[in-house]
Amino acid sequence: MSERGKLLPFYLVIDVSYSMDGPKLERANNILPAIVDTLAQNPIISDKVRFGMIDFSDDAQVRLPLCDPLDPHLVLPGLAPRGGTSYGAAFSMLRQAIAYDVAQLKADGFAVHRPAVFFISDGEPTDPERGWRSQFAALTHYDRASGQGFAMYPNVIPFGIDQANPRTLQTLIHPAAGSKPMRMFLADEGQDPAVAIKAIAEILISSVLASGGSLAGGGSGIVLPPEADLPGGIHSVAADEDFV
Amino acid sequence: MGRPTLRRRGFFRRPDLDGATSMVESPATSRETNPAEPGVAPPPDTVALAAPLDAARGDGPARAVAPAAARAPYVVGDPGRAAGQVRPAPDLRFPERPDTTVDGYTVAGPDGRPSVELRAAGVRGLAHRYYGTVRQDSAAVRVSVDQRWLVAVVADGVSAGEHSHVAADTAATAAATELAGLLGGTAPEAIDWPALFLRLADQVAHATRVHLAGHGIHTDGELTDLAAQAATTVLIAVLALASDPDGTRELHLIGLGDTSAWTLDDSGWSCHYGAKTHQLYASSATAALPILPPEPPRPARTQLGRGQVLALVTDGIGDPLGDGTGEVGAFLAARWQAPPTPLEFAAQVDFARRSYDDDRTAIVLWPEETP
Repeated sequence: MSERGKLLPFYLVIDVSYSMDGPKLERANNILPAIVDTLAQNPIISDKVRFGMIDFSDDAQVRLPLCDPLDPHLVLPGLAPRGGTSYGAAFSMLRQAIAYDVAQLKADGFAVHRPAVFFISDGEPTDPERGWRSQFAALTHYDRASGQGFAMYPNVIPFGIDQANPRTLQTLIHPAAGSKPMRMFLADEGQDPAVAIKAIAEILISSVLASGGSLAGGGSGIVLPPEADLPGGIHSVAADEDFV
Repeated sequence: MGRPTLRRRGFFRRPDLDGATSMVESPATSRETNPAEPGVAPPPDTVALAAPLDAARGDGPARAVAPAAARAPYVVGDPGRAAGQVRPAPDLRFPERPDTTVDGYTVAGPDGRPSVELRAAGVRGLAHRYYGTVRQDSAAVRVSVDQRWLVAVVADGVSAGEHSHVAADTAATAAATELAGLLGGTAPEAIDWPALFLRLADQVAHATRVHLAGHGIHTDGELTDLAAQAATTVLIAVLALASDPDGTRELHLIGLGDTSAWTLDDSGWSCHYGAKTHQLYASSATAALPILPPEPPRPARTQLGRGQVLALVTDGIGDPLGDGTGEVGAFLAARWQAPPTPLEFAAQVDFARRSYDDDRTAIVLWPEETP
């Protein structure tokens, strides 16, 4: 248990179905560079943040394996549209990635905080609901008492734009209750989805900065920005909130 | 009083993404083909801009900053970026509280002869230096009137509370002062610890209320609201200043939270109190005054062996020390075989290691060998 450092892993999981083509995907391609730019300005946070990116359509692919975003050898991936919207493929790939990454980081001697997943989608899943629900349960369910389930489960923060169904996304908030419940973020009605993605990037960055900052003591992982500090055109909703 | 919040100055300032969005047209190639663009990690020893996202500090022009070695003379492993880039900012709300405290002296025993060599240092963590927020650790040392007992206390103010240094100062000073008084007429094993912790919790809560009132914050609310503003761990060591005939020293340890007590000898480090339990994921959550757990803290009575060194440390040191077998353990063990000069000691406490940016406090005691 010799400690090489404390790390806070973030996963950006992003919908690249054909409906994302055009300005939305162009904006989405700017998220990682913006995060890198911000981290380059903050040595406290950049010393402990790790970032990974998974895109999903009919399948899911690890586009950026979990890494130090300021690694000078890093080449940031570009996103391109393909196919439908399989939530199940995204959750399944995410579970694999987290299980592998956390085990590897711990084997390398790092102390790891619970990962945070930013899940961005612009539409309804096109794969069967029973399938993606069971993949989501496999990713997030853990029973502390019996030890059953996925102990490495992440915190999941859904972001909905355009045609995403808020009711569907609301069920992906994890944990939904308890001492540190997560929230989801929704673009306002009529909001230009490409502009909404830029706002989402701002929320991601605020959250990364606040979460990394809170690790210095007292806090223990993901911190989401308060409603009052959200950029225009986007609002947040709790798992138990009736928002319609 | 206000709603408890984790928010810190500058944390949620919204980043301006326009620069990034206009800069990058083709993210797949931008970083590879433009290595001098903003966003590329600077080489370890040269740093262009270290301004934080904190309006209070302003976004000054790019300036050269001294390499890590100029700010932290000791580096253990990978120093990370912060050690070289952070330019410490003062906390202008609490100008009376120094970034670093250092102490060092010899404590005499009941026979008047040198008994223990002491070093103590408190060093503000890189995160607090970067954000311009106050050092929240505290420490206090007292000797009982009969010079039979040395009382050393280390307290770690919880970062989530903006005023936690008040809680830490109060807990450390109150515990050390009260115990030094009690030990004049009471043996350590006869001390009513649960009662003592109740009084400590009361004193921490009271001092916090007084302090907050002085800052215009009114607190008639719940204890948990108060704890959100100021909370602290506490670790108490009571060490005999006279050796037993076999050269060992009676030692009593008790505390609340993740501040830890270690011994160092030829076989390395061992943790005797306050060790973190091993968990899958790291967490910085800790028990802290003024909230008392349902079960009162339990004292540990032990012996400090001949030739052993006793170290009381906040988790700013305890975390990178881990189980004591790693690079940090080796580094500190090599330098603390014998007492360094007080200023050297503080510099060693301030060692640079990537991601370990919490406040650090250590009290280290080297018992004199009795003939």
